[in-house]
Amino acid sequence: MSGIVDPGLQAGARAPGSRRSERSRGGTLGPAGTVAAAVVVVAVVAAVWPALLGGGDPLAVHPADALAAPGPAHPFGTDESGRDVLTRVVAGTRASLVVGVLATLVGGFAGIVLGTLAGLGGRVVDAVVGRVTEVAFALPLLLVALVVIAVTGPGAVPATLAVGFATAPGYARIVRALVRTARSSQVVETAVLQGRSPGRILLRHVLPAALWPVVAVATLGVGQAVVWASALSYLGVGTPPPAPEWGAMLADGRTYLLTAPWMSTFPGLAIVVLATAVTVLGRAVRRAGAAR
Amino acid sequence: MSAVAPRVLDVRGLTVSIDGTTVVHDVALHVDAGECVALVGASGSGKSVTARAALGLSAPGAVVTADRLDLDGTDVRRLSERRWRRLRGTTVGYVGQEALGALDPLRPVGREVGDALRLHTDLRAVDRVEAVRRALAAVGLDPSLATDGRLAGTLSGGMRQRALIAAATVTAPALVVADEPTTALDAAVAVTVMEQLRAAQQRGAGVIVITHDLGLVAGWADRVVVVDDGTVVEDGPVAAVLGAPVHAATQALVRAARPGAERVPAPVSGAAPVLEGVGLTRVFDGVPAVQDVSLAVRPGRVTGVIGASGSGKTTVARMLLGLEEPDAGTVALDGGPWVPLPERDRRGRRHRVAAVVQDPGATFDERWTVERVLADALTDGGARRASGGLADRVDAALRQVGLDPALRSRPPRTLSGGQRQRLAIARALATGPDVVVLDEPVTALDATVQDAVLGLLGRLRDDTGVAMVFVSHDLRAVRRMADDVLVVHEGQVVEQGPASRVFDAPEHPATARLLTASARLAAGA
Amino acid sequence: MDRTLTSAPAGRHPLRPTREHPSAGRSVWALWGLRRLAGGIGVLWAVATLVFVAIRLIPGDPALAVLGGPGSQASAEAVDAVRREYGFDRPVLVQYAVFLGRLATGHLGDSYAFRTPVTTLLAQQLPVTLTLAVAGLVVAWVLAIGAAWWSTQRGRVAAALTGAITVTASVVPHFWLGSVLIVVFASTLGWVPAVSDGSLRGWVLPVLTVAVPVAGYLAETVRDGVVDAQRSAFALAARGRGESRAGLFGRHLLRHAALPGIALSAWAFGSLVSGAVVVESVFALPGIGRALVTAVTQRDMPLVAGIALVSAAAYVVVLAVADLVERLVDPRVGSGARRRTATRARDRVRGGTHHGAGAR
Repeated sequence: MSGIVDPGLQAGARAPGSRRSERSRGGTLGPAGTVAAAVVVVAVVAAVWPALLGGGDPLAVHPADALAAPGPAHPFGTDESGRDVLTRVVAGTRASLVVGVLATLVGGFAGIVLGTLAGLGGRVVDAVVGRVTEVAFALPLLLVALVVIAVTGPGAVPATLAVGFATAPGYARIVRALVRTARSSQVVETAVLQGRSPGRILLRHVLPAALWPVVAVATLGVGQAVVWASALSYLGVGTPPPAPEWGAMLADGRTYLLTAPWMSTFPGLAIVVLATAVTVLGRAVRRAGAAR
Repeated sequence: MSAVAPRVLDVRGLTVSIDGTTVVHDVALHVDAGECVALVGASGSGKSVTARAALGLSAPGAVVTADRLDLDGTDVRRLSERRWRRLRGTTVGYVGQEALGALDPLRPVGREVGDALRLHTDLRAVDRVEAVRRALAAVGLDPSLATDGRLAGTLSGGMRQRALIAAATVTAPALVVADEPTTALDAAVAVTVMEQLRAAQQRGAGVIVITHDLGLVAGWADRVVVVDDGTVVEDGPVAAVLGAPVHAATQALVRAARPGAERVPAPVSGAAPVLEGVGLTRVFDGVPAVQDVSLAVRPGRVTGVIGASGSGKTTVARMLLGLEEPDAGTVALDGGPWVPLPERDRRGRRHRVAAVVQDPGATFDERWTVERVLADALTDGGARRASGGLADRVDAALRQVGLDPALRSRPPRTLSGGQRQRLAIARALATGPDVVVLDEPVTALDATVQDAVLGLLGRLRDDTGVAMVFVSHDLRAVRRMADDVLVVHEGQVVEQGPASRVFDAPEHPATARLLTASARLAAGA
Repeated sequence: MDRTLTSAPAGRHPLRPTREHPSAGRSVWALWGLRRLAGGIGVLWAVATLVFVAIRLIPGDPALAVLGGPGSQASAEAVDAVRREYGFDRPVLVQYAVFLGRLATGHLGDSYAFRTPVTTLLAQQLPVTLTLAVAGLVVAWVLAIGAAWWSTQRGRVAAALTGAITVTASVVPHFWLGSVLIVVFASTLGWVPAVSDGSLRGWVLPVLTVAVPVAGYLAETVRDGVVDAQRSAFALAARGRGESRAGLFGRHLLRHAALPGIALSAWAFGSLVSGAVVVESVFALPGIGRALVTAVTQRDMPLVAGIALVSAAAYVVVLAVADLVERLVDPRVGSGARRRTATRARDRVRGGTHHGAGAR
């Protein structure tokens, strides 16, 4: 199952710009989009240069300070081994962003290839790819991911690949619909009437119409990928401990949920904030692109 | 002493502004019971806005003020939404634009027609059904539509329009507002629609018909109110206004409505036909859409193809262009094979055939500018931008179709409908084609704009000598343009010949029917 | 005009005789049933094949894996016995045939992590997960419709607020939401138990947790559909007849808005099952989700295979149900008409200065 958000594109496969309600004024990001962009920038900084935002060693253990509540010394509290939660949250940004982006790239690329083949190909190719994606959809995303991990073993790379493969069918379905719509559009028919060669029509009209919306969907997909990757770590099959990863931190925090809720709250908040920001940013970019 | 008919709509000093811009300014309008008033003007003149203000259905963000706004005696200026809902459907009925989409495609038509009764009366369901059946019969539809659960998609365009009128008049409102009721309908269907409105008028309702076509108004309305740029510029009895228009806008509308001088046909050349179709046949799902149609388009002459909606003329045009493979028959371009033929064998000669469609907006790639559209057309797909000599050619092409070269950098979707059609014509002519196939090129345009574009097409034909195939259900347009005419009825050619002969002395009953309908629509008989 | 020059026929073909109301003849439904059955079997076969391939990809001796993994101290005879029983000494294609044959007769093998036949395990635990998923879907729809109402009928502030909530809801991770809900509603407020104790109240939090992200997606879709339908010509016509806001929403808008949502629900079901996997861990529910995690961590392939097949079967059923519901909501024959509704519903009556059919 694909975790692709943006049901609007999935269900109807409309190209952006066809809906007036989606156009913002003047091609800017809008207030929500700007805030989201700022958050994403902060996240990228945290991933690239964690020391800037929450210095220290995320793996450093201070048993004496274990399970301390949030305070001036530890703004987010400490966990059961006395590690500073803030430091670990900041450090975990890199893992989450990298996995999210890579998984989306893997899934997006595979999906684009499959979807383009299905959209351009004749009935046989389309039917084959259609059946394949249908089967892929028949299995819940986590199941696919877990099966991949059952074969390969746990770890960050398998988790990335697993989420990537699991999301590919979603992209494929969207790309296929967009390519088919573009192929039968009046723009293409007009180009045929003007005597343009099929190759030129493909490159100039069909592919651009089909691929730009996918980029927008992919930004939303990054948010989804971050969440699913964390889920895998939560279940213990992703990034192994003691590396700072938000999902794993949540799993650790579960035992201490009632005594030290801050162990779960802050990593969870980080996931929500990053995923939401990426999603909102993706939508804002799509709106701005449509208004162009 | 005759009783004074009650005034069902009384508007004075109406001003509407949307998002800060004043769209309608100081409009005065009144309708009495039993009379038909036409509200006429070009697109954007504010006539729809005025009508919707009378219904309290102005667009969100609209500010409506008036010195007087009385609906059947009730002052509606400060009415709450709840009170408005009680008036809508009972006191005033609305038949909207885009009528084809105005019936919910997911609900049975019978329910849609009966809605007003359900909302405003205490009739029991059984009585409601009875009333719906009567209303359907009154508009000439099968009364069983009330209960058989049929959806709007199973009805033809004319039937849907009539069902809408039934829905709007089932509660016998005092005022009926019809917004563009006949746009996009062919003459025969349009006549039946207007007849229904007249029937409502005879039953005592006051009717407002909003339209851009003064020709429609001439036969059916009692009074006409001309709107231009948000104000009323002229109003009075139809004969007076049409006979002696004072304002420039009215004069333009009157000019557009006049049948127009028959063109002097181009001299018949003995030259071989540039496009010749023989025995074209096309069957869809066992239903023959086109049967054994043959036509010859000679250089420099315009061949009109007329017929009612659904007669198959568009299919013929598509086959001529090679967009559709005929099940039988061939098309030859200048003697050489054209259809059926693999596209790659046609590609080299595509520049000799061009097409202009009804709604060109969808044929322009969203991301392209006017400049790119023409540069691409002029260089056979080579150029994206125009500089130097190419830029001059682009400007010349724009001027040739009456467009300002300053529009070069704009995307086509920011242009008006008429401008887009002119651009489409420029694109079609860019390759210097021998023949242009036009399918309803002006049907979607305002009357005044139609006038202008048809004039343009005529001039281009005279200047370039290009042959044309002009497919349309609008007889006025074809009459103005065509040298030869082909009449299509239910997929077959029932008559063909020189335009003057076919229009003046039709031989086949189908042709006669088309002409009669067109005349009735104009005359209001 | 029913057709335009450069496009496929836009409406019903002009010369086609007016279609009668589609008769729900028995033959039509029988054909539908057969088609879906064939499709379903196809999907299950494909899933089974995938599972077979996945099993073969696991490194190590499969016979040992069946007996408990590399760490098991199985005797050589036991390993040989398993090898013969499962046919691991035969060519791959024969193994494949055996595998399919066993599946077809309902032999899913034994889970060695739990030391019980897979079928038994599934029978015990499947109902829990299914209940969670179905209840979650229902709750998600209720929330989505409510959110669509609030974001379209109640003013700009409500719309912005609801929009923000739905976006966040659609990305909130189950495990976090579950924990937060436990902390707030179970331990602090004490309204519901923290872990499931078999009571009805014990289901509230898990169902809510699983439903919220799906509700987020559905709300977006339904809201978009309502906004689109609001601008349509039939909405204006209905208001012109005096239809109230609630009436318009319930009788007209919702039906159109729900159509894409129904297709989405089939996908959402899979998302719910994924969510169930996590949520069962959080709330200690004995469903197949928890079993799946155990199966994966212990490389218990028979159980993984069984779960994969069962969820694929469930998906096939859900797809069929979604198709049925879609036909009920939209009685037009053929999906082409449904797609065209989406297009027609977008034919908005333009307010203000714009003219629908003509232009300057």
